[in-house]
Amino acid sequence: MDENAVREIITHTLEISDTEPDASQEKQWDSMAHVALLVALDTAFEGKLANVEELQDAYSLENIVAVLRKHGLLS
Amino acid sequence: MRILDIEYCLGRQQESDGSLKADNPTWDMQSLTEKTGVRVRHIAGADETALSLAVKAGDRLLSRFDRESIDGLVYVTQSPDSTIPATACLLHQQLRLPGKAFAFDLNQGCSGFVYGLGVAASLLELGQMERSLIICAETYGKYIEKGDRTCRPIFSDGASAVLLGKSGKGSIGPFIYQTDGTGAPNLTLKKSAQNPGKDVLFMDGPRVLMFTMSAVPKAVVHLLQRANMSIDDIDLFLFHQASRVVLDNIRRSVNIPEERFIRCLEDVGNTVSSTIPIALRKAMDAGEMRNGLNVLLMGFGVGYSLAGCILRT
Repeated sequence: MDENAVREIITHTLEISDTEPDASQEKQWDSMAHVALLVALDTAFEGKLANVEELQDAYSLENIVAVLRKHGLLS
Repeated sequence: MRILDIEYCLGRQQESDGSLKADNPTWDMQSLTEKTGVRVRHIAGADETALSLAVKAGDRLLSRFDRESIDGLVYVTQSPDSTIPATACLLHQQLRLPGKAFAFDLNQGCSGFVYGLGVAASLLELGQMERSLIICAETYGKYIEKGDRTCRPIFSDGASAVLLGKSGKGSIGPFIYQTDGTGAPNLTLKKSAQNPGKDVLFMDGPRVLMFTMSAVPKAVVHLLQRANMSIDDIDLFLFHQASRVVLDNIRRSVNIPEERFIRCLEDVGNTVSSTIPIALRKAMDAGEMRNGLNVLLMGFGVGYSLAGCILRT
């Protein structure tokens, strides 16, 4: 799983087209949308994200990728 | 020990996707419904309270039983009509229960029914009494603002009444409990910014989800270990009906076959402590709750609080 795959999960789940998705620029990326995104990411990562609490505050591709790299989950 | 009967009562006003869209034109209701799994919400009328809904559910159930046979009442609510005295005392009076019966409030939400079941079952197990009511009732709707996209699409107002009896086939237990007060700020009442002085429900969805994702699968393992059982020994799994995304995540994480996973959200909504008893009632009506089944029940959420048990029918 790499950064491009994460980008695709974000844009597909949130139905947005931004190449560098960021909640500050996307009105529909609110708390409810973030819940759906966390579930989609956890599914893609086969359940490995249940204890990665920092993701609850990661509202951009950049932040999500940084958290996943920190936990050794990105190739 | 077994559950003898269940009844429930939902808030009088029905809110469809159209109602929510009318109040919030920018909401994508199709997308919201896909995530929440809720198509119809039930909201208490202006003249309805958690207590009045509890009385209706209780009366429906007690129409089939001798009220003098009731030894106790556990009233589960976070929408109390009274704090001093306990609303359970008012409910006891309005249900015309005998004076010998105990009655107390139990302030828990999503885990509340299993908590109530645990307390009532323990009291019956002591051998001092034969039958106890567990009545759950919530009107979270009174705390939710019209434009709250996190809470409004999900929650419904409702009450459930369960009668627990000591005699008969079946058993209830073991139980497990879990508490994490660090999660308290993530699902709570706060002062409204729009209506000063009014308490409104606040839920940090992502944080509550992460708690669920982390705690529930581990709790299932813990409960099964305590029961000396495996996933394969459980015929039906019934979790608190929080929302579709939460249920889907639990089912996938615990690896539960869909045919053994009870869902009851679409036309009811999240009634907080009543989601499990309402789902049990509907499963009974559908003929799914025959004798001899092992059913895993687990409530989780506000607190944070979690409670689970094995019910053998």
